[in-house]
Amino acid sequence: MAETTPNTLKSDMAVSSMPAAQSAARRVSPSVYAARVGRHVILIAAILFFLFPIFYMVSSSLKTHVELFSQPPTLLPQAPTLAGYFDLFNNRQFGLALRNSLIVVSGSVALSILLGTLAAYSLSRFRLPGKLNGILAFWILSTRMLPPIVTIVPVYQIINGLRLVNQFSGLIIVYVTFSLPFAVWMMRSFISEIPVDLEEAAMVDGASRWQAMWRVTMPLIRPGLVATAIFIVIDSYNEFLFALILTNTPDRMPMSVATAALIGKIQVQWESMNAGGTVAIIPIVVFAILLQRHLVRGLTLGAVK
Amino acid sequence: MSSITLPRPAAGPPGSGESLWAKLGQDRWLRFTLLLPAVIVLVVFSVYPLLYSLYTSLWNYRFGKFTTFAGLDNYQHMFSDGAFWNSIGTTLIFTGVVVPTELVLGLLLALILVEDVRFRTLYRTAYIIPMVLAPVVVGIIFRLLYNTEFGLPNYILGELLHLPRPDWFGNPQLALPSVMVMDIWQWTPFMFLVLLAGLQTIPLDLLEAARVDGASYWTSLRYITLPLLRPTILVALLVRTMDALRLFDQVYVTTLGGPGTATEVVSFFVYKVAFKFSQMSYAAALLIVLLVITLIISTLYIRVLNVSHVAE
Repeated sequence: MAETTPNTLKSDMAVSSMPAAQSAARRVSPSVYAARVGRHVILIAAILFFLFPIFYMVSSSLKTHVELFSQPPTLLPQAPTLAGYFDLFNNRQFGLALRNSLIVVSGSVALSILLGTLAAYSLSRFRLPGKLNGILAFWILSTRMLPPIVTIVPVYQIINGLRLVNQFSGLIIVYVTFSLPFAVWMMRSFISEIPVDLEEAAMVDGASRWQAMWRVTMPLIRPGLVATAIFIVIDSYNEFLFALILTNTPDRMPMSVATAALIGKIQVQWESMNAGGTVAIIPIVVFAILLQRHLVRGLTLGAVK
Repeated sequence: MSSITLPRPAAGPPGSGESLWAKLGQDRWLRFTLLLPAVIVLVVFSVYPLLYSLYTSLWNYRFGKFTTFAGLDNYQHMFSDGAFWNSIGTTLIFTGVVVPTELVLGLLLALILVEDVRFRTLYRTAYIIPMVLAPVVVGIIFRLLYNTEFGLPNYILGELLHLPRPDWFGNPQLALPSVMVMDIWQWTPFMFLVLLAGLQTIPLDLLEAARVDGASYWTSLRYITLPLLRPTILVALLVRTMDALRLFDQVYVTTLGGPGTATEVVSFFVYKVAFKFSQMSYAAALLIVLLVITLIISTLYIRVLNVSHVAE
């Protein structure tokens, strides 16, 4: 616990406690001034580069068909309309896609966190025969590194054999296999940070193995659990390839496939496509902003804190 | 010291000898019971598929049945398959351009934002957004921007600068660079965020001491910051390289590998072989080769992680 919070990106304070930088900022020489201006020019250019494309899609989603094709392109919709959104939800069953994603994502998060935490607990707390702790940990990590395309053919055949194609459970199982190595690896590092003494003390006081695990360690790794879960949410929500192969009707297609379907084969339906893209990113952008403190650790499988 | 820490693989399980934990903590069955569900899931969905692919790749597979033993024919076919080599080449070029560019841009932003800049939290939040978007949506965003008729870049080029209006995704020369820009847009934030975290672990007193000794910004960057950042840079490079090998979604929603095969990266090529041409055996052989390539890179990755763990 004590380890998890300072790891995050919160060293704003550490940097601002640099007295030299602050006094230098007050006595401004021309070259320092130029450097500061240059810095802000770069930072603002980067903001434009990263955010403008998103803004442009959101803005375009509110334009009429005519305005979308007009020249010069407008930055803001001149006559805002929700036509694209109405089309999306009334004619294209996009609400279903949201529901499907909710089901698939929550199913796979719950399962992979549960299985992952149990396995991680065993790996970090028990000594397994041989060198199994290390071997298993690295084997699990290495399954994470496979490009998904490598397993797609056989996984399709397994899911097909189980009659789970176009079923939520089929997609959930597949997503669990993607997220599980990540969950094990992350939870293992979080559990290792909690001193074993705490559980020992509880057990000396008469707690059972399970009680020590659930009442002592689990509450302490909750921040890690949340960070891991949020990451799995993003990954499963955004996943496309397997969802494309394993679902084929609107009542089972998750968001990513439904969004891609808007692009259409022959004619692009720009209004509903932009609206769909906008709807699709809202939940995930909210998530990203909430989790940014935890993002780094997840991105590098705990390698960089 | 280093910003890289592995969760103590060796020191993890306590219970050496006569410690209290050894007596209380070693539960003979529980340790396996806890592991079992996860291991079963992973065996069924990652080990079995690999063995199955290996098997499939050695047989001829027609209409859902294994017909005749093919031996290494499927692997041999690869050598003479121009489309395969084209996809490998495209992937290499793509990775070779995209990953270093993202590194440089991400490092630049991280170096600026590690300083005490006003609104730095705001900047950081803004910069990470592209990274979490679904690749499918990123495809949509760029189809809109790159649109030949009404996309903003083409308006600026055509109407304001009176230059030709390129067909970004449609022109064989421009399609791959256009996909690269899309990838750089989405993944520079990753490099930025990871490198920023790495930079923040570099002790300030070290840089302070260098400054007192009269080192310029560039000198301390060259001799202190970058050497200390090296492990983080390596991790970031490896993660992105592995990701670049997987590139599929963006290609699927923008160019479908085209025009021709200009943007047919290796994942997309395998997808086509398996699901468009239904050549399952050949696809399986391709998967095995792809797997070996990935294994080499991931071994490298794990080794780097371990080495830096030891160094710590």
